[in-house]
Amino acid sequence: MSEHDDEREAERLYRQLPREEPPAALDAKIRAEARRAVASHPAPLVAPAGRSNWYFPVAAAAVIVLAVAVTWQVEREQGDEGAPPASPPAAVLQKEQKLPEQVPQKKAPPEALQYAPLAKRAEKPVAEAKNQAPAAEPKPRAPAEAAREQALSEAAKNETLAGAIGDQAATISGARSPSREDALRERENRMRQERPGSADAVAPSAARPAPAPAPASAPPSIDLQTGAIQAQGRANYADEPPEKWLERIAQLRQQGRHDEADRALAEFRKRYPDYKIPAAMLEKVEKK
Amino acid sequence: MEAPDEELMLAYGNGDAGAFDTLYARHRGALFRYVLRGVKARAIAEELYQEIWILVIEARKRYAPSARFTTWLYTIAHNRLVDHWRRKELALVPADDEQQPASAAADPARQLEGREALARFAKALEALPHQQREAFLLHEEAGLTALEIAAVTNSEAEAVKSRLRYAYAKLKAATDV
Repeated sequence: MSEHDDEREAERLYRQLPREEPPAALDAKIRAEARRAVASHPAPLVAPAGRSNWYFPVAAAAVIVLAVAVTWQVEREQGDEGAPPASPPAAVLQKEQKLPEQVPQKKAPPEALQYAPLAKRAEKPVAEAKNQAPAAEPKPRAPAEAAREQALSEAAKNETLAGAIGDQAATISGARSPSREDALRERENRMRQERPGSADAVAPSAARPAPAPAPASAPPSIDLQTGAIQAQGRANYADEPPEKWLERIAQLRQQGRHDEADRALAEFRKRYPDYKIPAAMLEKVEKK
Repeated sequence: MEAPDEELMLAYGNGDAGAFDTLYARHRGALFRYVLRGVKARAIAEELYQEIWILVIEARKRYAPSARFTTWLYTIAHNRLVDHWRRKELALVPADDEQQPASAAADPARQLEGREALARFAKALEALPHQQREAFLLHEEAGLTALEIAAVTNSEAEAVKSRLRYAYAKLKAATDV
């Protein structure tokens, strides 16, 4: 008998064996499981044709419009802020603002004018206030007050600008924190409270030698104000070409203001790490 | 014309529960017998059979019709049975067992008288070495070719052909006694 005959015979006998089948209950269980698995299947990513055909194109268009609008808005706000691209790193400005001991104008206001030519615009209202205040002695206090308010608002603006440099992301997104605005408002209120409220108080107030410059007990708002102005001044200072900057440092050295000259020189080196200072200038700017 | 298994499985993967019902109806008997004759105990067979179908259901998204659906289904079943045997610490038949076709067949044949060939056949089938029995069942129940059986059991095609040859020879010898 051939191999094929063996196979056929075996097959024939095998077909005669009982044809066992799974129990109906098991069938039902498995079918139910199969249906359950399909029923719990999450919604398909792409909607079946004919149903909500408009959904994906509209969603895509909405995303594109939103992205363009946000980009445009951010660019516009960046332009409004006018953050100088060549300004020193924000960390430096923040550090200067945070360390009041490095802001010497508190004790000696003229020192704050060391960067005067560069910070003229920012400090002008303060200087005006200084000049006007003694002159206001015989006059009613209105002009001095006006000058002070102007200086205050200018300082607030400058502070916002300095804050914007330090906290660029928040400023760019236009999400100025309410706490910053609250702080400004509170500071302004405090300043107003300090001002004498009646005409009787005008004379003593005006009799002070220098009401506009910050006295030793001046509230922190004044410090912040001048700090902001100085930060602004330094930002402008950093905008200058390196030669001018070095000249300023040399001037500071000549005036014996070595600490400031050192700081300015360090800042300069940070800003222009590859700049080679001419030997003649190096003698002038470096500490001997 | 009936839809091929592969199409039904793809349809089920896409959420068509009816396709699974058709597919299940086509394969339920053969698969159940393959499992039952592999483990020889109905309760265990039912449990394994259900697990195999659950594996099919879970794998519905991964199914790609690169081979026949039957091959894929029985690969899952084979692997599940191998797991079962390993867990039960049942020793798989060594390869050299294939070189002794007469010994296994002789025992059941000698033990039974020649009146009921069918009963002898059933016994012989049960007595077959596991790999030969599996090859035989895959061929008879699932209708797989030697090449497909080789793919399912992860074996060489020649080895499968040899197993089939020995299996048929033993079964035939058992019925001829």
